[in-house]
Amino acid sequence: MKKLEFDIILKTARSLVLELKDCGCYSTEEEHVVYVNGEEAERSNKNVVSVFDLKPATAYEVQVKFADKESDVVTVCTENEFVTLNVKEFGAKGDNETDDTLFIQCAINACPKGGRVYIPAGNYRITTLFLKSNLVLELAKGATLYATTDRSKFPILPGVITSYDEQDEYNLGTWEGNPIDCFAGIITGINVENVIITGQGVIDGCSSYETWWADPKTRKIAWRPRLVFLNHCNNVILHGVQFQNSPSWNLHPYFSDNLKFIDLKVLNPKDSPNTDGLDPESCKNVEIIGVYFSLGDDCIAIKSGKIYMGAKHKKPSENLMIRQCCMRDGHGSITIGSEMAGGVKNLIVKDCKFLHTDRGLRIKTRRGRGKDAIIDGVLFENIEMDHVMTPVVINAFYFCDPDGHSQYVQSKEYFPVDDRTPFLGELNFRNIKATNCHAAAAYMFGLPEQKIKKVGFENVSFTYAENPKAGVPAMMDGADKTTKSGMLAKNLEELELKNVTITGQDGEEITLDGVDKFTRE
Amino acid sequence: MIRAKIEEYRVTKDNKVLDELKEVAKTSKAALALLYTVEPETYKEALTEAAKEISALDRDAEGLFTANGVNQEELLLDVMPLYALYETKCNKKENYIDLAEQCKAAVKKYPDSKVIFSMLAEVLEYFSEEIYELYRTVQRLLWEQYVAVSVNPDETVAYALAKACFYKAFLMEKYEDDLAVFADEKYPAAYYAIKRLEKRFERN
Repeated sequence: MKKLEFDIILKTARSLVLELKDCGCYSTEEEHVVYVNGEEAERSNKNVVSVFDLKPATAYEVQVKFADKESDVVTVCTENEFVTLNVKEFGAKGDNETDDTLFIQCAINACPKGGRVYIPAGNYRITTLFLKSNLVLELAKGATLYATTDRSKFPILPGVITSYDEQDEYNLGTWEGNPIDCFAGIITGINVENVIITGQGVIDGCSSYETWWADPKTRKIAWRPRLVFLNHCNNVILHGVQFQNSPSWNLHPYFSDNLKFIDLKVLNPKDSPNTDGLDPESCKNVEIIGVYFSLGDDCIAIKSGKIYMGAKHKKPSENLMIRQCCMRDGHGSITIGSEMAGGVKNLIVKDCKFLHTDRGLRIKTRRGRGKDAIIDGVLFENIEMDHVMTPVVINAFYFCDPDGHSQYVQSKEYFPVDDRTPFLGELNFRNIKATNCHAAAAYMFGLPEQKIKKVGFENVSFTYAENPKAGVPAMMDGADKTTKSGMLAKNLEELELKNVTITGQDGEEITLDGVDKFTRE
Repeated sequence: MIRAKIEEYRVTKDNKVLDELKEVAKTSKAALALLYTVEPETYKEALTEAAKEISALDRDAEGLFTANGVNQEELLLDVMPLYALYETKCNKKENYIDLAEQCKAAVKKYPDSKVIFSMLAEVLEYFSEEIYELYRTVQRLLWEQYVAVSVNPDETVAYALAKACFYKAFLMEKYEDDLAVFADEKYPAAYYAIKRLEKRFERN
């Protein structure tokens, strides 16, 4: 029997999360079985799998088996728990009618350190809930929180509150990288730490084209809420829960550090507006593991604000690990920007599947993002892409914001490097298979005045769909619709290809323009 | 008086006042701007025409709008708010950088002008926070200008200060006493601007 190995990547008082090693990207073709104390606990194809309904402070013997391989039996002890606060004992009904917000909020506020707020199966109508520090919030299987869509019931988070001495400010609300008024999230954490939201339940924003998604570019009282908004939080884990039908971005950690998002599902209709899956914005030390995304905008978009916030706080998003995730149907599987004025550094994406997204890796930037808008230290490794329109896009002319089509942003001529010029550093792609590409293999277009420093591809293959759909490879002026284009590289200091194959393209395999050093092995 | 009527309408929503403003819209850019916000479809063409006239104005060495025989401070007070409104509502904010640069140049050229202080407050009225860094630029310029004009405040300063507080460029509670002096109907523009400020936290 072949040997299988796994890591325990999360333990709570009531659950474990296992990550199988050396099983490829996100899932396997055949099912495996997780045994706990010799009994079948879970069957799954996923490489990241959770076991729920355990007891606190208890040792369990855990083993994973495929048909032809199995792991050793590993003993794992769950964490301690002090008390459980069942929200029904606080008056919550879960009858799909009563507004249960206050009852659940009471349980949250009353939860002691080491305690757990438990939401049993039921349909709970809520407005917004606020987290507190030292909290475990568990949604049982069959528990769904349904949020109201009546915006008059949502608190507003003011963008900026001026200090009394008028020398400083306090930022609460944010929208698309600017500190402006927004509604509180359906779940909101402000300055909280040590929080776990866990379980098998569902948090549903109940959005539709008649409610939050109507007229999405217009501010109505305040900007749309997120499903989960974490503002200046620390040590927060979201585990197991399914998030769906968000009014805008689903999960938005903002100026928050030491975060884990594990074995989640994030679901929105394919054409729902601005329903990004998970947008860490100016966050440090973030792990996104085993998350499944299917939605209407970028699956993961890593941000650090527009120029005001980037220049004021200079807080990049950095040290991000994205692993064993599946992204489908969105605009970009992994996007950096466009709001990245504080920079994005040290990002690793590995062992992921990208399916039917417009772009695989998508970098969006433009003149005007500022000199702190530095993207550097990006590694994509062991990725399977299928039916991704254009697997790699680096676009330094993204036509966002009202001046997006202006001469300043869109001119392909040299502009002086100044305080408004962004910087693109080193990006590496290794062991990537992109099948059924449609528009182009790669489209990399840097600024002539500050070229992309280095892009390296190693063991990467691109093949095309039999009936490719035409698409615009990058959202910039002058990028025409195309099918089966090869690799375009414009304005790079260095492009390095090792064992890279592009098969079946129309036209040139590789087009270089303004590339200072090109090597191919 | 036009500005007093505009502020009065903003507070009272009295149609008689609106009708008075419609009478003067052809000659008052301030009235036209307000009317566009109330009836955008009716006044869109007039706004577009006015914006064309503004963009055809000469510029001086500092890049500021200028016109022969016209006091430049009064000209800027007349045209800049409407320019801001047009850019925000009709032109996708394409010329926001020019707007912001002209505001900076005006403050530099007229550092203690109460008229320029008023102009900045009215520009802020129509300036979108979506280009946030420029929005904050206009707020900061208001600050700078206020330092000079607050030495000898009058109704014009109070009117603009009330607007600046309305848009949170200034912290209202710190200026309540300064504003209270002019919260009197004998200073109608300031009076109604202050009234509007007092209703600031009601939701729409």
